[in-house]
Amino acid sequence: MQFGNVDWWLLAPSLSVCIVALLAMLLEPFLSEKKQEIVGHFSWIGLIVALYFASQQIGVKSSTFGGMFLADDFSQFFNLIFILGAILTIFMSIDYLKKKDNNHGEFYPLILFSTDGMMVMASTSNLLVMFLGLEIMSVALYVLAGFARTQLRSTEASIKYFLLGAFATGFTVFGIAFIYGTTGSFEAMDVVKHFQQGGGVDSFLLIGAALLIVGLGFKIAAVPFHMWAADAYEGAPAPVTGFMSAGPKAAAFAALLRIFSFGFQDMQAVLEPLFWILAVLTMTVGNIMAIRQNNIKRMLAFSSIAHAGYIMIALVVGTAESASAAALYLLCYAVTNLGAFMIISQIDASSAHEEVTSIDNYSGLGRTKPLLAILLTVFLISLAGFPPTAGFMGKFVLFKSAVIDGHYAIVILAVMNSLVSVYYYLRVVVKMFMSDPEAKPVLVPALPAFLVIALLVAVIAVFAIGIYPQRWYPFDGLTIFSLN
Amino acid sequence: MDFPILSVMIFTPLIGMLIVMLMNKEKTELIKYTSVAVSIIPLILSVMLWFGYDSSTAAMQFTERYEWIPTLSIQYFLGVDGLSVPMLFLTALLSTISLIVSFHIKIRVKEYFAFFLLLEAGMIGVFAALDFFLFYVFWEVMLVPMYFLIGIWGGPRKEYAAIKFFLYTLFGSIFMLVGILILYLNSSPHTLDMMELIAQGNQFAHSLQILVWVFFFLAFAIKVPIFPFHTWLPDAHVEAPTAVSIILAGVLLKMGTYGFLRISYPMLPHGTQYFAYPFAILGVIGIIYGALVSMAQKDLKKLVAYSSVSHMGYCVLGMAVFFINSNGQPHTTGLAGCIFQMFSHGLITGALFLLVGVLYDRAHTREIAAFGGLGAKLPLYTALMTVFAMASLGLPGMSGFVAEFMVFVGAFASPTYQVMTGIAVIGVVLTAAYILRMVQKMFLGEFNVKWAGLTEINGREILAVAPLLILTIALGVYPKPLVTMISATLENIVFMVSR
Repeated sequence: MQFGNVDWWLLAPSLSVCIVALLAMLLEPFLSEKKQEIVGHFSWIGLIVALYFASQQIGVKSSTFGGMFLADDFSQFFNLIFILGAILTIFMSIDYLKKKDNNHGEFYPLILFSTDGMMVMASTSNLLVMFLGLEIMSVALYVLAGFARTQLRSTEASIKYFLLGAFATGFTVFGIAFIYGTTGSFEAMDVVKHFQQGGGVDSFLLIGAALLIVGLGFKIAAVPFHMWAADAYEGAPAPVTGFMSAGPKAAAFAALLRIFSFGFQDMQAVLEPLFWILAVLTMTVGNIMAIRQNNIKRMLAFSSIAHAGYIMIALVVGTAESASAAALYLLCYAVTNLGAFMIISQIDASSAHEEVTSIDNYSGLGRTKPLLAILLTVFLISLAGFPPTAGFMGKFVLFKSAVIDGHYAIVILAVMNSLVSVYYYLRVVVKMFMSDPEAKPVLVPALPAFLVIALLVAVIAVFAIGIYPQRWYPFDGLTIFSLN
Repeated sequence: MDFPILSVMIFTPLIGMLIVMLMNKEKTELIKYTSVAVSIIPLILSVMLWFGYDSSTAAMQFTERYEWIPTLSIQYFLGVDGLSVPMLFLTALLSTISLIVSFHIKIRVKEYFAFFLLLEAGMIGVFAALDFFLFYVFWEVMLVPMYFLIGIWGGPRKEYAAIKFFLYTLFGSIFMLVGILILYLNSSPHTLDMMELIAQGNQFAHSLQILVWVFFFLAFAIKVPIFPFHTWLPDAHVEAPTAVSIILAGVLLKMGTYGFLRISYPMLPHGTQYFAYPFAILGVIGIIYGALVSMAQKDLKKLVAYSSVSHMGYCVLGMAVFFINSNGQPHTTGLAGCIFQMFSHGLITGALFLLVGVLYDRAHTREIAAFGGLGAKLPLYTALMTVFAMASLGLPGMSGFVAEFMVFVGAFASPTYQVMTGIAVIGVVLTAAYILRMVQKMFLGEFNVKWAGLTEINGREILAVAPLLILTIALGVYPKPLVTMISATLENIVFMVSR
């Protein structure tokens, strides 16, 4: 394999995130305990620089490192999701960590490393590089999940996530090995070549694909690989939970879509029933489990599983159009869910050492904190897929791509599922607006400036994508770059 | 460029909502008057629409068309025909009346009026939209304020009623969404323009039409509501505050029938023909069932609610009857009866809910048996209530009679539906029975001294009910303006369905 000249410009977005992360890590020990948030400010400024580089690359289609690192519509769109997700997470964390008496600067480099891993995952079709990205992302996430060191739940979340994650990684590597064994290459696009040269669906390739689905299915919390999700989401600090549901999920989907909708497209007929069952199981189990939850983080964990189920429809359909629709859905989901978690963090921050995440804590919020309650309602309505919000636009485009390909049944199952989901999202709304405040209502602190900015960004994005998506997203589809 | 009258009608309440939200929540009186003032603008515009509309043609008028999301062929496309003009007028009128009725709201006044204006914008949007995506957006947007209005300001079981209403309606509309997507991809070129889809209506495969028709049926039948999808209605009505009941009965139910006539009928002619007969049967079941259940009600509001099920049954029966006779002339009497019933039911039932609310505000009970001999104590109230009760049972000289008469004449003209019409007429007798029984128990007989402290209906309430009274009688005596308004459009619909 010839590397030739490395095109550093293509690497600029992910490289800048990496450099900022390293600098932030160096910066942290020099700051006193009270000034740790400076690392946070440094980090989000760095991310904005990365966002600038990423925006400068829009439209570029190229590769470097001998085709191992790609820049195409697909990677650029996902980079936007990752960077935006990271910036919003940092904005909501700066004051949250202080209020939770957990103000440690290493939080921010961890977010940045994780983000960088995601960017690598979305920017390659080489399975080995993808694995590298996956690990960079995951290791940082394991630490982040346990960031509330003094909380037993947080530690439990971290351990569970780590052990099961390590196990799932094994599957991923094993799957890559099988695929390498068949095609003689780590390049997912070479599977296309394998079929062009007359290769059939051989059992090694099939095992490889199945193992990859297990490994990545774990990351997106597809049923039956979802067992970790509820505990990890519930235990992790609220901003981290928001981050986990936005970025890493999108990254794992970016990998899945690139591998299966583009690389393995000739095996689509074989894999379709498998994805069909996984998708329906995921959305149904997620929604049904969410109904019973009384902790809002846990409820959104199951809702996040359900959303993964909807997005998996794109894998069932397996067309380039549906892969792009899934990308849009992930963007919509990321901004909406992060928005919801901003409010959840703010409520949670009302006590330094206790978790304030029970749905009962939201009783009467519509009267005590009307602005927060209205914003949370907007985000929940968007999650439920109501117009004119982003959640509706995402669903509309995704379901349209499925119906166009003739997949009526799964779309009907998905819309029925979203009906179920409305019930539990509205439960929170009922608590906020239709119940009286508790005898001892939670004392929600004043809104910090950065959270206000983050909320503004999220709510504007929710309505902008919902009402006028034309400028945000190319509806004829995101294209990918391939050397073949 | 003409004056964008429809957009102004939609966006005035939205702007009004923003203004109300920015106002000081302590100044409740100012909020109330501002809201009413805002809602008068669409009312005036809808009257201008009525008089500016050229009823000699079925073509869409006052159209506004802009690109919105071109790559998905979604447009911002508004327009009206003879079907939507009366509905827009009804919506604007009932919104203003409801806002006037809502002056007694005491808690969270600002939010209430803001939600109400959002609701009005959504309702006007539904009747004006000619792009499927836009239509769906308005259809859904309307649900949210409705949910809050029932859930926050409703009766004792408000949460239950609100969520039941919401989930039921949503259940239907998600099927509509799938139906829209299926039509979109089977049209060539792909389009979400309703007029374009109507033009292509006879090209859709028959099996496809039947499937999509069922999907749309679920959405619209729940709204109407057609038996057996009516169970959300009594709960929502009983728990909702008075003004919301007026809107529910007066406008929301009509969206179901409007949906059938605007979408299912012209877009899916084969599906409509295929299901016309079962559709009529459901209509007749609705008439009889609704009337029988009304007879058993002890709660006055529930009685009016179930009477809506019965009255909307006439709409459905009238709608099912369409054909082109041997002279090549479309038979539109049944359909005209349906639209007349939609309009007249909006007036009459709106007024009945309003009057029920007036009494409930004073007596804090709605139990029919608890009253008696109110006629002596509240003569004016009794007179109003009796007039509308008579209108509801179809007394000649009022709009309800014209509507029911047209439905029966229309249905009887078709040999297929003669037996059914005969059965449906029983409904009139049953209606008379429960209405007269209610009037007798509440207003006649011995006066229950417990109610000696009741006060007469006040000026503001009379002001709210007066337009409904005038229109009910005016249309009953001289129905021509409404009939003229709709005839060309209906002929066109019958031609479309008979393709």
